Amino acid sequence: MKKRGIGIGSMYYGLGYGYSRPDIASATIELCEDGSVIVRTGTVDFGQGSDTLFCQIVAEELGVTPDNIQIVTPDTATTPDAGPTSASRVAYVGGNAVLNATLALKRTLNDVAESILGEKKLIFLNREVRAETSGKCISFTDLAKACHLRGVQIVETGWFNNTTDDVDPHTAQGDAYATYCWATQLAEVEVDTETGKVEVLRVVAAHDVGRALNPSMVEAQIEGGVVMGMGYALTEEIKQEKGYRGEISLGEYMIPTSLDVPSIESCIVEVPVPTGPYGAKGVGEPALIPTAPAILNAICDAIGIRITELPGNQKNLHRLIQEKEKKTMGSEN
Amino acid sequence: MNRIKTTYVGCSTPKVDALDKVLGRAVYAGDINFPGMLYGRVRRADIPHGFIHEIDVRTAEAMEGVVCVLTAKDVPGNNRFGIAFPDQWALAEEKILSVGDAVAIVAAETDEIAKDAIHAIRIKYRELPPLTDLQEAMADGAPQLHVNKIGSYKKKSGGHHYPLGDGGPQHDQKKRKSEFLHNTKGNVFLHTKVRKGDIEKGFAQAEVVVENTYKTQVVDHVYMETESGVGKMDEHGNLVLWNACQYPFRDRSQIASVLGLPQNKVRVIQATTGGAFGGKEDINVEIYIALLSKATGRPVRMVWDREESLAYSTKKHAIEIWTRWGATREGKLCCMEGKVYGDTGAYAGLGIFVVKKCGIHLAGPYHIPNIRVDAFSVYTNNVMASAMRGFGVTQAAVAHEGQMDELAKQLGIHPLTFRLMNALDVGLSTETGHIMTEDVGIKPTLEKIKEVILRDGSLATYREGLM
Amino acid sequence: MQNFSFHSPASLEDALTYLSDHAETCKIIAGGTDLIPNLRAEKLHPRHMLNVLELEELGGISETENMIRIGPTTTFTELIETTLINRFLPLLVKASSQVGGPQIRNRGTIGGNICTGSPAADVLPAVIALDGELELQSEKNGTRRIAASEAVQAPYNPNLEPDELLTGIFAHKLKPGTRCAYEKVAPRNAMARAFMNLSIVLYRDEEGVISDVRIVPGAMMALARRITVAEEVLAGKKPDKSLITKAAETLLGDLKGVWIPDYKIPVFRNIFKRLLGELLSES
Repeated sequence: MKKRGIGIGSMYYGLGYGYSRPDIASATIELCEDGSVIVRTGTVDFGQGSDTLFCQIVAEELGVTPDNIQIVTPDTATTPDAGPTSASRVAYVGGNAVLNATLALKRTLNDVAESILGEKKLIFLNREVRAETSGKCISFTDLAKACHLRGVQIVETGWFNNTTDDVDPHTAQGDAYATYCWATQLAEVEVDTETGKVEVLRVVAAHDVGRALNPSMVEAQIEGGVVMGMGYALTEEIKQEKGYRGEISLGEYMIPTSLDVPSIESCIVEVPVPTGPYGAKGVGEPALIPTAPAILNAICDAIGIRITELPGNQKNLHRLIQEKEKKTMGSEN
Repeated sequence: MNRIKTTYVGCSTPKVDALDKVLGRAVYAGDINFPGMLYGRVRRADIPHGFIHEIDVRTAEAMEGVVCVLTAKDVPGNNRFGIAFPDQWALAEEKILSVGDAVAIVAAETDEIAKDAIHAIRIKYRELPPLTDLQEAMADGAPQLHVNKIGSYKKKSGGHHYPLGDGGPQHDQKKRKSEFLHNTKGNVFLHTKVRKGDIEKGFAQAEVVVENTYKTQVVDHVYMETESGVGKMDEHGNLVLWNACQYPFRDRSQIASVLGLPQNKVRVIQATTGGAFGGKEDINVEIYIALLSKATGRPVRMVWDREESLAYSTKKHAIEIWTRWGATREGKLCCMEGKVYGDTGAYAGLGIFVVKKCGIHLAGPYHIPNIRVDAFSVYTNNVMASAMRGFGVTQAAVAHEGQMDELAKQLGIHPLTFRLMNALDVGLSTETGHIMTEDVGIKPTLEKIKEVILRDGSLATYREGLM
Repeated sequence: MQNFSFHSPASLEDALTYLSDHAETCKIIAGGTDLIPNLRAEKLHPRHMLNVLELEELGGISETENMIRIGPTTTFTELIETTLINRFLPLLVKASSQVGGPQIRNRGTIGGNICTGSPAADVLPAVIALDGELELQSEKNGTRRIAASEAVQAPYNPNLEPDELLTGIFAHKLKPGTRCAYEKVAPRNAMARAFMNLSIVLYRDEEGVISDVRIVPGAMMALARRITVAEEVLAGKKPDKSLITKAAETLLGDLKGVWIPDYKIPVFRNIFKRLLGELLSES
C-alpha cells in the first residue's frame, strides 16, 4: 500500500573556509574609453552564475547595463587570484571584491563628473550620470572619454579578505566563520510499502540567502540542490567491495531523472548580513543540505521507520519494512 | 539593514552564458583542437593495495600512433602533490593505495589508439590485503598506509624516485621514518575535538536521551561535463592549459611543482566548465596533460569517459556518525555527544577539512550548551574522498535532523515547534561557541515553512501540535 | 577500438545476402539503443554491421481479420501512438510506455527488445503474454516462425541462426472485453533496468468466470515465459482473495533461479496480488 508522510529538515552552514585557511578574492575593473567595462577576476563560474552576478553588481553601481560589462575568463596570467569556487563563498567574497573595485572606480568617476557638471549629489543610472537637484547630466560614454582624456586612473583593484582565525585546536571553540547560511526544507513523500519505492511528491525550500542578488539563479541552485539531495537520500551509491569498484555508467549509477523530480517551491528568505555585498550570503551548498534529512523524516512520518543508513533505496527500505513487520507480528504473538 | 531601490541587483537578470550554452556555442576543453594535437589516457592500477613490481610499456610504446608513454621516472619535478598534504603521486612509484592510482600515461595520435595503448601496458604487483573498513583502519596495529614523509616535500626539489622493479621489500622499512601530523596516529590523520561546556553536567540534566548511529554512503558529483583539459607549450616555453576547474591558481601551483617549472611559466586558463560541485578541486587531468605536452612538445587533450569519472574521480566522504543527544522534558536541548568517522580513502585531498566541518556542524542550527564531539579523518584503500557540495555538513545534517525528529517524538512536541524552541538566535552560541550577533536566519526559514504548512490544505496532516 | 564495415542494404533481399555472407561476424543494428553503449564499452567487436532501420519491409503495422503484424523496426513511441495497437494489443502500449525514457522510446525498436535477449527486457514478456509469433528469414532456409516464448534461449542469446533476420512480429487481436495490466518495478521512473515486470492478460465471461488468463513475469530470472501452473489455478474459476493468494504462491513455487530472491520474491508477490486484484475489480 502507498503511505504518505511529511518531514522537515533544517541546517546551518559556515560560509567560506574557516580554520585560518586563506579565503580571499581580488578583482580589477577597467573603464574603456567608450564606456564599456572590463572586469578581471579569478573567480571560476562553472555554471552557478557568478559571471552574471558580477555584471549585475557592476551595472548597478555604475548605472550601465550588464551587457556593457566583459568578464574576462579566469586565467592565471591575466586575472588576479580570487580563491576557489567552493564553500558557497563566491557571491559573498568574490562579489565583495568586485563591488570594492567598482566602488573605487565609481569614486573616481564621481569626482570627474562633479567637476564637469559643477554639482555634487550625482546619480549613476540608465547609462548617464545626473545631478539629483538640477537634473544636469553627462552620458556615461562621454564621462569615460573625459576620464581618459584627463589621464585619471581608470583601473582599480578590489580585494576582500574573509579569512577567519582557526578555532582552538583542543576544543574547537572560536568564531569559526564570518557568516552562516540557514535553511529549512519540507518534503512530502509517498512510500510504496510493497516495493520499498519512495516517490518524493513535493519539496518546499526556505533558504536565507541574506539578499537574493538574482532570484531565479537562487531558485535554480535550490532546485538543483533538492534533486541532488533526493538522489543522496534515496538512490545514489558508489559501491565498493574490498576497494574494488566496477566501471559503471550512468545506467547503473542512479541519479534522479526529470521524471523523478518532485514539485519544488523555493521560498527566498532574506536576513541580510552587513558584510555581504548588498547583504548577500550564499546558497550553493545549503541548497543540497536539508533535502535528504527532510525526506528521511517524511519517510519516518509515513511508515514509522527511521532510515539511518543511506541510501534509502528500494531494496534497503523494503528490508527494513519486512523487519518491522516481523517484529510487529512477533510482539503480537 | 535598509533595502535601497536597485535596478539590477535583486533582479532575475538572464545568465550571461545562457545562450552560448543552449545553442551549443560554448567551447569546453573537449571542443578545443590544435594542429598536431595528441590524445592522452591514463593507465591505472588494477589493485587497491600493494607495491608495483614491474611496469612493461614496451608493447604500448611500439604501437603505431603512440607518441610517448610516461611513468614515474619521467616526472621532471616533484612527484608528490595534494591540496592539504602532498600525499598523492603524479605517477605511482612503487606504492599503490587505491584502484585507479595513475601508473602510466600515454599520448597518441587518436583517442582510440591511446585507449588501446593503455590496455597494452602490463603491470606486475606484489599485492597487499586492502584496508577498507574504517574501524579496522583506525585500530591500533593496523598497517599504515602512508609511510613516507608527507610533510616535508615542499622543501625538496625532485621527488623520491624508486627504481622500478625494486619493489617495497628490498627497501629498508625501518629507515623510512613515519611522520605524522600533530594529533594523528596510524591511518588517522586528523582528530578534531569539540569541547563546549560540561558534557557530564549536560547529560545529568537530560531527561530524555536519543542515541543513534548514522551511516552515509559514497556518492559522485555527476557533473554534466566530465574531467577535461588541453595542454600545450607556447612559443615562449610556457606551459598553457585550458581545463575544466574550480581554481586555476591552485592547479597552477601543483602543476608547476610536478613539472619542475616556476609558477609564472605555467598558465592555467579556465575552459567553460560544465559543473563541478567540488569534484574538480583536486587535480584530475591537469598534471597528466602537462607532463605529456612537455614531453612531446605537442598539444595534448584528455577527456575522461563517464565510466572513468564515476570510478576514479574524487567522491563525497562516507561518514559514520554515532551521536547521543539529551533534552529536558520541557523541550530544551542540553547536551550532545558525537563520534564522527570520515573515510577519506587513499589520499587526503580536502578530507581533513571536510571531516572537521562535519564535526563542528554536528549540533545543527540549534543552541546546545554542552557538547563533546570527536571527528576522525581516516585513510583507507577506498576511493579518494574530497570536496563535494555540502563538505561534511550534508552528512552532519542527516544525523542532527534525525536526532531532532526522534527527540521531538519522544517529548511529544511537534518537530517544527521543537526546532523553533531550540533554534540559534542573537545572543546564543553555536557548537564552536560563536555567539551570534546578527543575521541569524534559521527561525525565519522555520517560520516560512510553518506558514506554508498552515496555509496549504494538503499539509493539514502535519499541523497537529504545531505551535 | 572498433573497426567494422557498416552496410545499409537497399532491400530485404540485399540484407539477407549480406547476413548470409558475414553470418558469424555480423551484428544487426536498428535503433542501436542497446548496441551502441555496448560498442562504446568494447563489450563486442563485430567486423560487420548491418543497418536494418530504414528497410521498409521491416517497418509498419498492419492487420488482418484476426491478427496484427508489427514490423520489428517499429519504435516504442510508434507502438504507443498507433490506434491499432491501442485497440487490439493494449498490453504492448503499457509495456512500451515503461521502456527507458522518451528519448529511448523514440529510437528503440520492438525487434531490438526481442533480439537483444536481455533478461530484463520490458516488452518481450508482453509479447509472450500475447502468444506472439516471430517470423524469421534467412537466404539459405527461407522463412520460419517461432513462438515469442522461444525467442531467447539464454540471456543475450536469441534463438536466431547467425544468418537469420527477424522480419515480423504477429499476435492475435485480443477479444473485446479482454483486460490487460502491466507493471514495472525499477529504481527510478525512467532510464532504469527493471527489478521485475509483470504482464497479465485476463478475460472473464458474462458470469465473471475467468476463461482466459496469461501471466508472464519478466526480469525475475533468465528467461520469461507464461507461468501456466498459476494460470491453471485461476482458469475456469470465479476469483476471490484466497484464489489470488493461491495463484501467487503457485506461481512463486514454479519460479526457479530467481535473482536477488530476498527482494524480488516478496515484492513480486505484492505486485502480482495488487495487479491481479486491480484487474479483477475493474467492472
